[in-house]
Amino acid sequence: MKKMLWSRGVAMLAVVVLAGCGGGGGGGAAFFPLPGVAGPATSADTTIPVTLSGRATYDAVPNTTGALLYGSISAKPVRGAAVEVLNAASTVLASTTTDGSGAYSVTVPSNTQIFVRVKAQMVQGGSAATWDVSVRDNTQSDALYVIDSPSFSSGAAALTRDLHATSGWGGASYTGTRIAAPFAVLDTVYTAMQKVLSVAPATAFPSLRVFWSINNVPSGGSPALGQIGTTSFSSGSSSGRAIYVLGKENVDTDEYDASVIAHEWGHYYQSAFSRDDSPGGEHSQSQRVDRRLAFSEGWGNAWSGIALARNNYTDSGGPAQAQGVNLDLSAGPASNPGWYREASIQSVLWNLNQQVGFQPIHAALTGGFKTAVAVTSIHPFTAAFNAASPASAGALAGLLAGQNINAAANDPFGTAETNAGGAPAIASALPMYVTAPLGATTVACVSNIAGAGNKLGSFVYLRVTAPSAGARQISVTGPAAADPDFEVYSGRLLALSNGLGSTEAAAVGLLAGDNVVVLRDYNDSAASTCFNVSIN
Amino acid sequence: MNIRRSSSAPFLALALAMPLAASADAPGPGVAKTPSSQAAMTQAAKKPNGSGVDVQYTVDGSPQVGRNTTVTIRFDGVVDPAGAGVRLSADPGLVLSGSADLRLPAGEVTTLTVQVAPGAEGISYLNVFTTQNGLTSATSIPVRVGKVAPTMRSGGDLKKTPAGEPVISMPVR
Repeated sequence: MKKMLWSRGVAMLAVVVLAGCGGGGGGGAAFFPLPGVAGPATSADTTIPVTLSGRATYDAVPNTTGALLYGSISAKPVRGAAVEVLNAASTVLASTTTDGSGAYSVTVPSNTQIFVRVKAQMVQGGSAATWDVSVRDNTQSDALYVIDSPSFSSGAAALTRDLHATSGWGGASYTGTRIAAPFAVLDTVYTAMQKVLSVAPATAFPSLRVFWSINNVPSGGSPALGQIGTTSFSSGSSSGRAIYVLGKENVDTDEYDASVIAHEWGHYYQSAFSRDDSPGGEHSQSQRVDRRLAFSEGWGNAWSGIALARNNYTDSGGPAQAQGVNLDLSAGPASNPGWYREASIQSVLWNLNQQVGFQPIHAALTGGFKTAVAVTSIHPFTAAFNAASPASAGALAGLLAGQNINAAANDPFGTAETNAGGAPAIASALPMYVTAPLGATTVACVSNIAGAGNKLGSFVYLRVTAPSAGARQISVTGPAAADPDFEVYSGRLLALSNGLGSTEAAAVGLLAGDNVVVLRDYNDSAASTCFNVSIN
Repeated sequence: MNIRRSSSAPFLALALAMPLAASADAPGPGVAKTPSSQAAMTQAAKKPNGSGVDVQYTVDGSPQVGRNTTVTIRFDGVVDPAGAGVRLSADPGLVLSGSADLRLPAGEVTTLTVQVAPGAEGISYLNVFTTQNGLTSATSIPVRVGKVAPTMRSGGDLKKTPAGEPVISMPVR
């Protein structure tokens, strides 16, 4: 396992040569520096390096069952963070990285006025595992959070300076600067990365920016004003991959909700190393949702438990952060489990990790699942998992059966699936994929019975087998109230067409072999809306 | 506070106005389209593992300091037979008139109108907490007065490194 090692500065051994005067004549000891050998620094000497070491910590506020437990705050190490020592002109005199216990050590010029800066940033370059994670304020020019020690003289001998980031909690509200918050966020990311590194030590993590602010509020609008909607992952922003984190006191803060941060990092993992075809949008645990959404959100929840080594998901909110959500990751939904339930997916993946560890899950997600023709859902995951780790197939099959999901060993398209989605019935829920022969008209139906936008039945999936690669005309005609849109996949998104009106047509370059057309009614106009689909 | 509900389900809760026949369509995923029927209200984002209650809202007109502004909030997606709970709280400086608590019956669309009066220019928020099946979500409705860009509070001092990178410097002991 490649660890996030701190690059300790070369320890300076100040060699002190004491040359005594011979002869017995009176004078005391004196120093006679020899060429290439440093003597101890004097009060005016700044050329002799001294060792500066210390430890960086932050106030960790636990969340074990939903509410933040301010009465149980403890100091935890700032792990893997960049450290700089600067002089009064803000020139960097030394830099290093904290180790797993928050410790750092550097050499600095003696008798120099300096201060220590610990950044809310983890950076490692090189040819092995690499990363660049930073926590920034989206309402302050995307500035990087740092903690700065008071200025002090480095003196003439080794010295220690510890830095501690406080929570700012005053007993009933935040009365001080919330210094610890960005470091709490950073530490959850550190933990998540460690889990991946434990099975893939050479992982190159794409750059990630995490944006947290005390101004971040659950309101849509301008992130520069703190209006981030909710805590979420974004792969397409101008900042590259980013996670936005809520921070508004008495409404919703997430800096100490490690489950929430880890969940969003799970989406980063999908984006960076695996694949996620989820349409996104509004959803909840109680709903029957689209297969891709169910897998994506179920994975996010399961991952939070896998990464943090816990069996529940917690999320605080409300006045004094005293309310909260507490989900049992080990259990599926109380009723109507299946491939369309986030809670079913999270329980399968969380329990699978308990039984077989993360290695085979990682192998599946970064292997066959990523390149499957079928869109991302539990069925192609099952096929990829079984192919990568056949010895563990039985464990997965048992968990799938417990959630009423077909456990056929190699069935990425879910052809053998028999769970039609429960009540109220949605006639178009099965088959998982409708076969759409080239040159023929295929009837494909969607439904708004389970809700609008991204629910079970909102999309219908067509499997199209092309004998050769090339452009094909895809034409869809629906009833007057409908507005069909479609996407085309084959291991990745190939094309999308989303014009207005009751017809939709586009020429799409299909790949040889299987392709998938995902069709929906943007208007979610009826309990059963059927389209005529022709592919020529 | 003014509450309206629309549903085929029995009307059980207190209502101060006639039921409202409103569509329950939330914007769908994918590339946004804006049919005219969906343009009036703002769809609030939902947090994963939240209440699942759908919240849409409008803020009437141009809010002014010291004067009441009407905020209309529409709730949908209540599937728990026990219903869902709503609690409102206003940011300091924003005065909310009327009750802050409400029950939402299952299977109904409930529309609520409240009055808020901003105390200063800038942005303040009416915070809406919804609870269903033991899960809670928060939505903050912005009430903006004036066009001057509001000043964002900072957790430290905004500085620049010699290399030009902005940092939020937070002093520690």
